[in-house]
Amino acid sequence: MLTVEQNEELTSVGPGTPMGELLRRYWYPIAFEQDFDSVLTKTVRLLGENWTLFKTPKSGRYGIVAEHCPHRRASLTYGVVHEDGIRCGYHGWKFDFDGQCVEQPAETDNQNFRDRVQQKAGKAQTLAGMVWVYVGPDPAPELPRFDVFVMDGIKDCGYTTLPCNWLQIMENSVDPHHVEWLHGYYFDFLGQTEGFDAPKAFQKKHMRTGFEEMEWGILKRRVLEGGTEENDDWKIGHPLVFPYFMRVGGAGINQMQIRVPIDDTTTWKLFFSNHAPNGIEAPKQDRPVFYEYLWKDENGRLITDYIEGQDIMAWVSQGPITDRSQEHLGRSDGGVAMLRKMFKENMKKVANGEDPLGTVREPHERIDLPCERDKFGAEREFAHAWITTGSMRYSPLKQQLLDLHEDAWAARESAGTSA
Amino acid sequence: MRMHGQPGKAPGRVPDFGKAAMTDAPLTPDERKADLAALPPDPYRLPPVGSWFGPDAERHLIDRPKFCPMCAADLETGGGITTEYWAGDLRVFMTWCGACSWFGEVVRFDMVTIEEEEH
Repeated sequence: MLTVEQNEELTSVGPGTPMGELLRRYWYPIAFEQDFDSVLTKTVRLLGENWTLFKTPKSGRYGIVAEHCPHRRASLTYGVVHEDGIRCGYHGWKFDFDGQCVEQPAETDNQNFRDRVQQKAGKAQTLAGMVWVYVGPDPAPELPRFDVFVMDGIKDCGYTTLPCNWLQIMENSVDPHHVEWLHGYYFDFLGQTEGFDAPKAFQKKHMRTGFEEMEWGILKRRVLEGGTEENDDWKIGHPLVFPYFMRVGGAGINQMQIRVPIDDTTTWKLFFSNHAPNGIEAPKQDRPVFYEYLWKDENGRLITDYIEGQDIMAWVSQGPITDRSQEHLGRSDGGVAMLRKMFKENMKKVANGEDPLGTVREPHERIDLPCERDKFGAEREFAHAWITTGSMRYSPLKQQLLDLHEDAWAARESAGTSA
Repeated sequence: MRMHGQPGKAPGRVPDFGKAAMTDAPLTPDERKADLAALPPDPYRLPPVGSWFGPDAERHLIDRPKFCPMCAADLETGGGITTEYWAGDLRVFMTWCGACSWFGEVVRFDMVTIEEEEH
């Protein structure tokens, strides 16, 4: 339970707020490269502010500036993109990549005027088929090249926009007990009611859970019924990557769950997966495949017969911003309390002028994160269950991925090797 | 409860600023609103009046630790955070101090209960 004030501090992401200042120290995916196949500009919303994201026509360089022109507040998204910046369509004011006004066609005799106009601007670059932006203060950190985004394999990414604050989604990631209840007990109940078999892998009871602060966030561990501390779930675990990712994996699938804070009551939710099961070489891909997954049916009812649909129900039904002044936590919510403390700690670091947790300043090729390979002790059936009963069931690559994992398993069996 | 400087006022009356101090007549709804507006702002807000779990939120506000057990810094102004959770009969306040970074649990007892090991 928190006070109303503490809850507001943790959930307000706009400019000038303590959480907003912390979150602005990180890079975020905000669009797909394919969005710019036919247009050069796009309005995007991030951390409570609207931005114009643009791509230069010849060099393909990306830039990001605040959407509303500082002249008369028209949208720069409907402007002219040059190789060295963007020009407002209304009166031709031109801005470079740093937001500096460099031309004011109707004010040619007023050099001092344009020198005093600086539009808010950020940095933009691409990684893994997505356009990432940084809208915080200079110097910008390096964009972390986490392993899932750069490793070889078939990549697909489901996305949707959810009407809730990003923090209540992050708290789900340090709440391991929900797996046996939401994805185990409730899923089984739905199966019995609606006539299907829910996967058994998620029904195992938790015997022990652990949370450990580490350089990228919080490492989660669990011992499930029938397992020991020698199993990957405890020995390796997987991390909540501060401040908006969770890294999961198993059976040749590696995934980054991405929660982009659009504003206080909206989150862009992506499941970015890489498929590279041992025993087979995955085909080459030009670009990851991006697809929208569903979480509401045509009648407005939440779809809860798949794993992520169940999670979404739990997040969205708490309300646009969870009222933590009326919650009742138990000892099993220790991870949630630890996460809140981590956010407060890093807000304080930023207020003191320090880099927060997970800031990368050194150029690098790849950052490997710890993650289970044998998840829930489910081995072969885990990949099938994940694809068919998770958001990947909406992927255009669904059958191709199922075949890939099945072929890999067959290859390993005939070679006498393990996963 | 008597308000300071206002002897003789009936308990539970709206504190008197202005017109209401000069009369014993009950305040009208508009006068009541005007008097409340004259109060300094309450720094600690609660869930909306009538919320089912409002009393739990009130107790949290009253009972949460105000000062760090290690360095005695004010947890509110020092940038700390307290998350309350319940375990059995206990109310546990998992607390982080923004001044000295102490992170631990402060537990409120009504009765010290000891479960005896078999012996």
